[in-house]
Amino acid sequence: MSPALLEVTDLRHSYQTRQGEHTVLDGLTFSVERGEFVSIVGPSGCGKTTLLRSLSGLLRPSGGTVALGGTVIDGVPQGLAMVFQDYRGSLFPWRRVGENVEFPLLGSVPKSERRRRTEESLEAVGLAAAADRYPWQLSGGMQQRVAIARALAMRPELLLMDEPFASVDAQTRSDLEDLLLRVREQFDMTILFVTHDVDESVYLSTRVLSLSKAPTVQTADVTVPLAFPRDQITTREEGAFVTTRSEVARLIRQAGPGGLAA
Amino acid sequence: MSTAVAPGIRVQLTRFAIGWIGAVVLLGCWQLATARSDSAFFPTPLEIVADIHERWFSAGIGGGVLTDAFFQDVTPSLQRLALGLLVAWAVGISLGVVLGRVRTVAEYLEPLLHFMRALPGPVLLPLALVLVGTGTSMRVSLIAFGAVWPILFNTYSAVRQVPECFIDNAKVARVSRPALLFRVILPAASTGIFAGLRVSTSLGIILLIASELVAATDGIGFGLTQSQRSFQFVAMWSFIVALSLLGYVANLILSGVETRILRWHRLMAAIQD
Amino acid sequence: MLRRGATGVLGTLLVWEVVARFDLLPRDALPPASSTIARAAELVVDTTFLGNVGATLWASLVGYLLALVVALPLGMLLGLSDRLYLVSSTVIELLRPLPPVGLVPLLVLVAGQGLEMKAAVVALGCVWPLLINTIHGVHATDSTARATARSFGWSRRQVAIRVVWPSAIPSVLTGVRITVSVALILCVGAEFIGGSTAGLGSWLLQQSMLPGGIESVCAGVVIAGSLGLLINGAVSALETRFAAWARREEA
Repeated sequence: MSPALLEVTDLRHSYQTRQGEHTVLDGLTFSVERGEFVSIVGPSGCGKTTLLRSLSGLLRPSGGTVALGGTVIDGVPQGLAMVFQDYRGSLFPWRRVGENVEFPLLGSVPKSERRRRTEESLEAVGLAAAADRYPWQLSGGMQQRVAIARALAMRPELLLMDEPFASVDAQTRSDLEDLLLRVREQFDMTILFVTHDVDESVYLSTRVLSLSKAPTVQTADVTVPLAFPRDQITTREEGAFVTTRSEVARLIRQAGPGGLAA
Repeated sequence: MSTAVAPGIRVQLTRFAIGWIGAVVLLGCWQLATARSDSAFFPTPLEIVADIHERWFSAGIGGGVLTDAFFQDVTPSLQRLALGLLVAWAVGISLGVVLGRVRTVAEYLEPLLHFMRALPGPVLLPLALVLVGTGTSMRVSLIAFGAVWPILFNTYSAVRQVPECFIDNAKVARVSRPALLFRVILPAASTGIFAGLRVSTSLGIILLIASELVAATDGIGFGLTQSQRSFQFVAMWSFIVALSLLGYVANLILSGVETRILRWHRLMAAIQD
Repeated sequence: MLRRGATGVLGTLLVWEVVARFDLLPRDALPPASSTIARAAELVVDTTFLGNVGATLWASLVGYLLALVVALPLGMLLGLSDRLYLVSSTVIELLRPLPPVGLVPLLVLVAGQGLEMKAAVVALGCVWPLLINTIHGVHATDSTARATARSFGWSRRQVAIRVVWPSAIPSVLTGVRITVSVALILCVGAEFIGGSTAGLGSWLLQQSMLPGGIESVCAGVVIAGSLGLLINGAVSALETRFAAWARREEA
């Protein structure tokens, strides 16, 4: 049997503070298979940022391993892209939209191929016409689409997303959710998606993992029995959606007194 | 989303014309006032222009336009300033980047940086005289050593303020270390670095003139004081104009580069206003 | 952080001391840190030295006030009147980059080598950034606020003083921060170039020509830097105070 795309084994991390050692991650173990869309939900302060930074190789955890495609990572691995919550800090204001999308390909992909992939990615997020504008000339939702396009241009096997839709309004948010499901099909990606929002996690995912407050452990692993393509209205009306949603919410509430932040 | 409303070309032309008319009127007033005054200290602009032409731009056939005096008066200053500033910028920007990225080293050196930035540059002149002597190397090293602090400090604080998420994004994109420096850190810090370049340039000019007072035999600063002491007031004014042009051209070059490199920043600021 | 800063300072002093004590640089070029500091301690109670420092500070202050007195009203005027601004903008752009030290020889002829000359150089150097920041501040005033104030039946003068000026203050303060440290630099520069007989610059130059004067020169440089630190500190304290006030005004 081939290894899972992402294998997290007994991942631990703690910071040294003035008050002593502060444990953020306390032995997380889970895996993500190719083609899955896994959401991670948890209360604020559950160490999601630390988890994502460890998965992306930006942070060296104090213990445990992260393996991508069977290889234990040490530093930022190949075949991985990440979309951050703060789109203003993600896109470089001195590069035009197209140049931002092209950025991760510089130095590794020949020019003609870069141009092709940039066009294709911008097309996929519906921003082909905005290539020559600057990111700060676009709305927040459009900027987050540029960030997604940039991730697509990297052709990642695994896409990590850190609460990517938390700072946009509700309508834009549902548009972006559907856009994400579409490009996942088109680019055949595996996605690990961190969110605060139980509804969002169930709507998007094939599987939902929930985490406790720090020191963080995994509290639930729920498979979402919903078919694709999904629809903002009809999917949310399905009985399976409602029961899964309730199940996840209940598991999170049981996990700790903190509950979910809004 | 807002778009800046650019004034029409005709409005711009009119503004440009009115502005220059203002400048010409002022020049005319200067001419009239000095022509009517009998103070030897204030020659008319026309006299000054004639003196500048004769002094520096009237070489005969074969010698081109520039006179020997030009190479005596102007070129040495240009070389000293350019060399001194280039050294200051190269050292200031590289050290600033290193200190901005290596937090621990910066924490040890920060008080010293504050001190050196607060030190009024010209007080270093007597020290430079004793340490390096009176040659060209003294003048260049005085300019370099005096002008390095504003650019070093500005680069350091600009690099330190580069948002960590820019760097995270670049790292996830697996860019090489040079690309991280040249394509992310330096552009993100560029506004602060340019402010530092401006301050260090004006400081460099002050240091240049101050250094050319001591045991110098050529240069604008030398000519400036020499003509004053020998009561050649028209010549003194020519040197004042030459120095002004030097300041003006330096500013023009910086603005030109800045306009190109920081175009995005100007547009962004215009939108956010 | 603080401890590391202190370690850095002590480390530098130690290196300086060792370099000087073991004659890694010629002794007459670099006196040891300890004797420089001892000399500096003597200087801060030396009346001659203090008199010279006082002359420099006084000239900087006079010149700076002069710049403020010219720049603030003129900036208000040019900011409020588009016509005047149009006519003068090119002149300002042409005059602004001119290095004020270039005028020192002329100013020496007209105003002598003392206070008036130094103050004039300081004023010439500081007036442009102050002027331009004042104009920017006035231009940034909310035009609705201006129109509202006019609808109260206030005169132009009253609108300028009650509405435009307060909202221009943050920008003016930016100008102040940029120029304050420049004042001292220009003043010392003018002392060298103009051949002044009093002032920190002149004192340093005299000391450097005395045999064994290098110790005093180094001590003087250390004191000058500390003075600059004090001034910078005072300006940022002032700015923190006023910036808080400006934010409250905006809210």
